[in-house]
Amino acid sequence: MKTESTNRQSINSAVEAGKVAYRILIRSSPVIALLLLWQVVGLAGILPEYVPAPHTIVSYLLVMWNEGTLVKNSWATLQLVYVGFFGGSALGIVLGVLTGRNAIFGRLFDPLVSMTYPIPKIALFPIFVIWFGIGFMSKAVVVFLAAFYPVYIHTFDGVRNTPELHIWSAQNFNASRLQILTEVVIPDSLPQILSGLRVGLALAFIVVFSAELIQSDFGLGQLALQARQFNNYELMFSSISMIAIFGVFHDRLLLLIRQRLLYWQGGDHS
Amino acid sequence: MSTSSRGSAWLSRLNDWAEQTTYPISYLSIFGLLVVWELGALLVSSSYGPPLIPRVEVVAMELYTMLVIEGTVYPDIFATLFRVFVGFTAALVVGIPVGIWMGSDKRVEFVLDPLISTLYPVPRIAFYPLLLVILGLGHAPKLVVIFIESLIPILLGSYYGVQSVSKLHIWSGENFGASRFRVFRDIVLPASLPYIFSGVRMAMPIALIVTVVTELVASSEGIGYVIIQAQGSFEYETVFAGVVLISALGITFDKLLARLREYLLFWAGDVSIDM
Repeated sequence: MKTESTNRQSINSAVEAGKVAYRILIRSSPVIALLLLWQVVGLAGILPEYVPAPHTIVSYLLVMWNEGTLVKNSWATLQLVYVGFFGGSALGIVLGVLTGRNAIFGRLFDPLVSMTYPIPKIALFPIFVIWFGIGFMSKAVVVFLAAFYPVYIHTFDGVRNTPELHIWSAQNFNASRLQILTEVVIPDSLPQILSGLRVGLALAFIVVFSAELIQSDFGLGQLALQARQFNNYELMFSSISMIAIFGVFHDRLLLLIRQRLLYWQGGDHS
Repeated sequence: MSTSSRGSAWLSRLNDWAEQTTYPISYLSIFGLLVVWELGALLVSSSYGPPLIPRVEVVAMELYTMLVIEGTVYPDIFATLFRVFVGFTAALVVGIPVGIWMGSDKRVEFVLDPLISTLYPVPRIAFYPLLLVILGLGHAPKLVVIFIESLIPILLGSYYGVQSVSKLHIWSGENFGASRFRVFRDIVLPASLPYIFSGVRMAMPIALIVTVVTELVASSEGIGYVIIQAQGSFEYETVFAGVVLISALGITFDKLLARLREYLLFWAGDVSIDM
């Protein structure tokens, strides 16, 4: 009796998982079709010399893995994304909540931020190179700034748009200021904060790759630039596909986290 | 207890004052930034070479020279503006119709939506070295990268916009015998305009970022080129002047778009696209 019910449960969950996998497969079929087409055209040998077929790229990635260049450069790039993104978004959330909740901070700092927001942060990169040299630091600061702004702006908007009614009812129940913050304001603005994080993450990847293209000693962007100098298209596409895979992977991870956090919202954007 | 409550009372009074005051305290922070810059310039000294932080007035003088006395920077400003303008306009011309098409035709949505959402987190700027190989060093590779980077926010804005149109409005339009074209022109398009505009507003800074990056990497003119040239020859005040110029462009574009929104979409509340 008992084993039967667990059996049925496991069958049900397997069916459920199969359905999900099937749906994902159907949904991503255009992407898969495009990759297959690329491979077929590549095998037929009608691609221009500067576009290698997927299987050549994969085998080149294996060569790079064996040489150790793949891990070294990917890690350099990812490290910058992590440090810049986590630092920038942490500051963005904290400052956004402060300026959104507190009129004096809002009046003082928001003008500065909205004034500097449209400045392309990557233009500051040459200055940071002058200050910190071509190392880790100059790039980390640019990525930090690039990730900070969208997260700040979205957090500020979210906090500002918290319905007064929710705050009043919490106050009515004698909630402390801290409780209002952690149990009303932040959950209320969470959807906005997460959108900001998603924009910030995408920007962090753009800026990391750009900074590495401009001036760097290693990293995926630097590999792409070297590849251009030596006309090594396998290397170029290896670095492009690595940054693409990292970008998509981290974005999907963020979306999964958002689904978990916002299960109550029931939105199905992806 | 009493001190903390007195403290919070004082804080809330300060907050009320800040909420209502007409003193231009907004400018304090911007002025503060300049003060910090100047102080940094005075305090940070380099043991050799030019000062790491040029003083505010030196940079201002350099800007004045570039813009007025010698007037040498205009071709570079025009080159940058030209690239932003052409790449961005191309993205508008392609992105809005395709986004609307995606939102109104299920088959197109099925094909394009996965492609776009896969491409969204990929830094398209990664294709720049490849485009340099294919298209050479001129305007063309830059325009293509600016186009593909600003395309996707615009496209997604239009797509979400069409999706957000209330079915009820479309049905009532159809009920009054409106043709498909009229439903589109009088209902779908106006209702999705705020979203389209949000996408455009999101794409504008990206277009400028990408323009500067392409100029910093490989170029022979443009503000980015001026900056990286000056950095290579240790003329740090020119680097700072170039950064101020590009910042001014970014702020101007942003203000122009905000104005345009007030003019076109005065009836619509601010919508943010849920990315």
